[in-house]
Amino acid sequence: MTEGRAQANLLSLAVALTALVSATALGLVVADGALASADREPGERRGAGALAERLVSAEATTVRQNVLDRSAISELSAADVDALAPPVANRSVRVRLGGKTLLERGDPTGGATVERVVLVAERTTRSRSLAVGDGGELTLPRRTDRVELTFGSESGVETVRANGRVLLHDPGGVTGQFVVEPSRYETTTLSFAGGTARVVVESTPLQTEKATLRVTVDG
Amino acid sequence: MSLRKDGRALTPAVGKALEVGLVVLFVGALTTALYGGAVPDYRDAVGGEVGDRAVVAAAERIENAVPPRATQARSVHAVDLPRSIRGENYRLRVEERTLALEHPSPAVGAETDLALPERVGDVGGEWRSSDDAVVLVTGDTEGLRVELTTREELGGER
Repeated sequence: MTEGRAQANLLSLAVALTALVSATALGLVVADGALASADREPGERRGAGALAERLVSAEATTVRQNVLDRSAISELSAADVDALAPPVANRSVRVRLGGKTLLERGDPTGGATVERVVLVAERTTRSRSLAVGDGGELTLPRRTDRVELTFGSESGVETVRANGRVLLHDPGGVTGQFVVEPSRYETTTLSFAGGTARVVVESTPLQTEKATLRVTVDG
Repeated sequence: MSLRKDGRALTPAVGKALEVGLVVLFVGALTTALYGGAVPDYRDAVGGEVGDRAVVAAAERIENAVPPRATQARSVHAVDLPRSIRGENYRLRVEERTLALEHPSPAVGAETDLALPERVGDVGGEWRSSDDAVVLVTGDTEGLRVELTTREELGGER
């Protein structure tokens, strides 16, 4: 009986240690799970962010910051994308503008997606031919930063102004072809002074529309 | 029976000694098992993840430091780096437009290409994790130069 009582303590210690071992094992399993779920790919999000940022700021694809050039962006190739944003090289990538897929390489199923609201600009050409007299005015219907004026050889116009500022002046009559660059921040009114002429006014306004640029990078 | 011949007084002492031995053995075995296998694995895994994120965060900071096109540019941006990864100091270095993390442990290491505009000409420099890291961008119409440097080297300039 005496020996039996002495071992009772050891027995309870063994039970306690067994309980500790199982608690530790459980803790390790939980830690493993937490570690496995923390294994993310920061490179995907970075690639998507960098490509979206470069697409809306690089000169090759934009008219100005955050305004995409429609003709350039619709001809986007995988090589262009890699050159713009090297972090996307060797990854699956998809670029969507509005509802249209511009570029898809590989098959990005999951991955990270970055969205940006952008303007998509298209340069349109508007040409008109008109006869102007002394004091004649013409207001361009859309703002533009590039106007081409072509005067006939019989021109008597001496001065051309845009919103009061002198653009062209020739006391002998302005003849020939000129490119002028009015401000794109205000509506331009051209006024002609000095005589009559036949003039072709070609303006190239940007037509913009809003769209969402979605860049997905996977792998 | 005399008291000397009675062994009952030894019972608690022997019992406690056995318990102490058992507990010491247990703690030793557990410590060896954890530090020999699980803990270094976890530290490697976490260090690797932290390294990846540190490189990505630093690369984004460098890219954001590039100012818009201008005739004269000079900008200084502070970069927040983890002081140490896996308990050790490390370096971040730019070589051929690739930002790479150099760490004494082979389990930690990451690199990423920088997405910079074409007008950025030269990119160079390196940071140690103990530095007060800043990105210095200088340039003119010819092009921009991006340099990884420290606040001390700039003389505390903001």
